[in-house]
Amino acid sequence: MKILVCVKQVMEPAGDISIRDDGKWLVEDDALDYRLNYYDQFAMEQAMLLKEAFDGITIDAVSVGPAGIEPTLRHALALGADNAIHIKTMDNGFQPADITGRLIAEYVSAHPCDMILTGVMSEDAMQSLTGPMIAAHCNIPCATAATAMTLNPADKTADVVCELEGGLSEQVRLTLPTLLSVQSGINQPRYASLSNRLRAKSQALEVIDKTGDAQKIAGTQETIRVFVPGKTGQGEFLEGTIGEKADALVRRLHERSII
Amino acid sequence: MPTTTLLVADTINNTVTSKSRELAGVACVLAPDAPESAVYVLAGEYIVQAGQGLCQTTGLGAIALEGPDFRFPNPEALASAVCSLPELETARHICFLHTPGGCQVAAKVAVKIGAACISAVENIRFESDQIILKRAFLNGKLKMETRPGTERVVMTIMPGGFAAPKSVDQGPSEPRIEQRQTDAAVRDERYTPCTLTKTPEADTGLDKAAIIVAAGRGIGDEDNIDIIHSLARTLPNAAVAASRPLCDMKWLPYAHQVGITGKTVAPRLYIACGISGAQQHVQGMKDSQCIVAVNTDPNAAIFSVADYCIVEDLTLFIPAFIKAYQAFLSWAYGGGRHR
Repeated sequence: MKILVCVKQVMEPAGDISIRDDGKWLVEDDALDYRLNYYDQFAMEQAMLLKEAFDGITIDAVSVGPAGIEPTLRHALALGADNAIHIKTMDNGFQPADITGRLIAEYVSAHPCDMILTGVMSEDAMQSLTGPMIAAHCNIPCATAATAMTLNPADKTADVVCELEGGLSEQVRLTLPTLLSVQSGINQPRYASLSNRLRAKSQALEVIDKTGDAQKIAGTQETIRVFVPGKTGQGEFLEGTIGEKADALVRRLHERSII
Repeated sequence: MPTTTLLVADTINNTVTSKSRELAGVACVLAPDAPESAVYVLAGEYIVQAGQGLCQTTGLGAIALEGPDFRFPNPEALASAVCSLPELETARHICFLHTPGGCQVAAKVAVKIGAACISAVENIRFESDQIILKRAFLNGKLKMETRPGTERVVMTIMPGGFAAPKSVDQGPSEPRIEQRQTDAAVRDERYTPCTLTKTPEADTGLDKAAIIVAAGRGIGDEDNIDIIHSLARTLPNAAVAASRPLCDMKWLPYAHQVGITGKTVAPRLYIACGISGAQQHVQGMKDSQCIVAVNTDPNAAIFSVADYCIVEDLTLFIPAFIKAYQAFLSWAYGGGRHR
């Protein structure tokens, strides 16, 4: 049985960011920090838990993006993926879920798998679309925001608990092959083992070069500008030393009869 | 008048979620002069009654898709049902709420009809007749504007961005709700919803608290949660809350989570400590009367909803604030003010 885990390299949200001169994307340089998407860690861990629970499971990690995403695929190997596939695209600003979904679905049609796991969303773009897009292109059922799952290899099904809003959750039975988008907290992601970290350093990645297909993979949307939003609130930034700020805050809250 | 906008409501247990009303606000932006060009789409086992309420409060018409397949939320069946609506032919905008399920249906419909799909839309404007959609990026630190490249556009709407219309001009006739029975053709045998369960409420004191001290990933270390607890103990009638990642790490139980997937609160004072200000969290606390935010990143999105912004390391600031507060108490009640 093969599990494909889709991983994404994201920008560190608290990092220093500057906008490109054309206003359409960010300056991607050394000032930006990148890492494995928070939610994808849970997808990777879920695959590992399945691999430990059942015999004969292999885990492939796949990611779509420019050359710079290689460290994230190596991170997935370090977390336990058996193979890593890099669908290489041009570095071309914001990559909508539509393109990522299509490229991964294209890969899946040539390399079938039994289960696809994704994070529920990416931390930077927060689209929550890539997983369902892949499923729709592959014509397989999909469950989103999974907070628990049981695999039943005998009848090729999976029982999944999907998180809805307001404390509600829904239990769904899916027939494999299927895609699950995994909600954070479904498990406790482990640290990479030393042996996997060493293997991840030297293992060859499988590269699928799509850099020449820019025209063919053009998306259905165009980013027209990226900007820092104006301050919407009338918030006051308190100034001074830590002690002065603390005193000022107590004073303000007292003046408003809050404390 | 042909239908140009489909508003797919969020329904659970034969009721319409309150956020679904905000979709009517989207219709007002898409066609301010002709809101009747928008219709709601609702799915449930018996959803007509709930739909009538929605029609009355929003003044829009609705299509009620009824059938056993919609006893529980079923995004796969809903996507098929939406794709087979005759109204889809003329629809240019197909709107969902930005929930995992809403995104799932949106993605499937978009792929099926070859439309652009843009999620978590906060704002819509038109520029020489072209629709431009605004959404957040990097926890709201940045915004981006996107122009769909297809005639038809599928979008999911971020709650809070579009106010539901307050009063509705009912016009000469009452808005119509049309009941349609769905058949087994919408069913995907590979996807079977089985049960719906509700997590029992744990008593966290969040509902009754006048002050909430909330911790986010910025607290850095599990031991620092003690600082949050000690601030909550110091302040009167205060409770502790957390953003989702903290609960994921089991530093606090999920019952303490504030946000879209957690609790919605509106205390007198909300102190956000090390919280970046992702919409996920902000939607659950933005109606607090006074918001204080402590964060080391001066550009954190949380500062745009805060009344008082403190750019400091919370592990240093919170103890300083506790000290200042205690000094104030002894001045106010111990000596200075009352003598």
